[in-house]
Amino acid sequence: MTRRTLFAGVGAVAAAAALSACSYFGSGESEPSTLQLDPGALDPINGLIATTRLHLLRLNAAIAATKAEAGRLTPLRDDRQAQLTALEKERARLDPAAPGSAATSSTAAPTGAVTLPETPEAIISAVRGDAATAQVQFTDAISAASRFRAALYGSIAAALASHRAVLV
Amino acid sequence: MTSPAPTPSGADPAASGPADPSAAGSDAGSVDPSLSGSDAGSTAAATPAPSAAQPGPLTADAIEALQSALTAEQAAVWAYGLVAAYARDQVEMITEARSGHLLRRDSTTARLIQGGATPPEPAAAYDVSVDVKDPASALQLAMDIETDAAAGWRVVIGSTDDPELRGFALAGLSDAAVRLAMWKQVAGVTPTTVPFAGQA
Repeated sequence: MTRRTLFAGVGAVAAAAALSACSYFGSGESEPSTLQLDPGALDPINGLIATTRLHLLRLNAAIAATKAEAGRLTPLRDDRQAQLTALEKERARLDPAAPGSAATSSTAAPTGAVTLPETPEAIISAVRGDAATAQVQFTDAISAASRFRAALYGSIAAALASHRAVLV
Repeated sequence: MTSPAPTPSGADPAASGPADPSAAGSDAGSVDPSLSGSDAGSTAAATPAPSAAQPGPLTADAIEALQSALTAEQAAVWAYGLVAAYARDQVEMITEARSGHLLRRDSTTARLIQGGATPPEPAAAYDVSVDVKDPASALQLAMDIETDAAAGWRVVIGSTDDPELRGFALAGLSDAAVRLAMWKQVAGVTPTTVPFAGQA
């Protein structure tokens, strides 16, 4: 594994800078970092989008697996789809090259296979757990966001609280 | 206000409407509005825990937004009395909702005073555009109350860079969103949830 792959991630630039300055490998010579800052990769909205896409997949699977609960789950799925669309639109607003922008439009419903529990009760519990997880993520994202994004994230976090409530 | 929730009698409803939360703002520090680990079977369980951060001074934007949110909370406390008179089968939910708004009203008043601002006085009575005359119209008023409260708190979040105040406002927004969903369930309104709480 190379240094590059070891430190790939959010803290990569800081880690590489520290290594370079401290001559961690003992060469005594500082070498230029091969890591480049990617502002897009550091945008917290990417994590929120990824979570929302995953939960949409799981909601679609849950609706398919529990026909009797489709009436309750479908509006929640529609909410999450609307949230995903808004998040991708917001990301594209600041980063036109990002997925979901007009140039790379990809706001279609996500597809893929996911694994769910077997019983309807356990599936509902899993969906409720997803809402709780997402609620925490959006809540945590509020503090450091711009005002516009804070209002968006807060609005979604509160909506997710209501999702949990209707799934009890 | 965009929904027919109560407004002070004789007052201009638009005067207490939410400001545009879309204004760009600077980044802010950290806050820990962690959530209850339990499921959101009740409003309280869905509410982010109070921030550990100390309340800071209020900016003009935040004061204006908080005053509007407080006006909505004051109206909610008053209007739930009207709801109670007609939706007599929902005593428990009404009591819980009114208590929640009462607490939020008082904490918002305290927050404004703490920030050096003047909280608006509650009106003696409020106009409601819903003609409350039976359980169904009472439930409609309850939904309007929560819709307006949610809108007020969403604006507060978008009016400040203060993480503590954002957490405070998110608690109000989450409570209102959950209550709105609960009232919709009782009234048989679908869908019971909205994708963006507090957004018109």
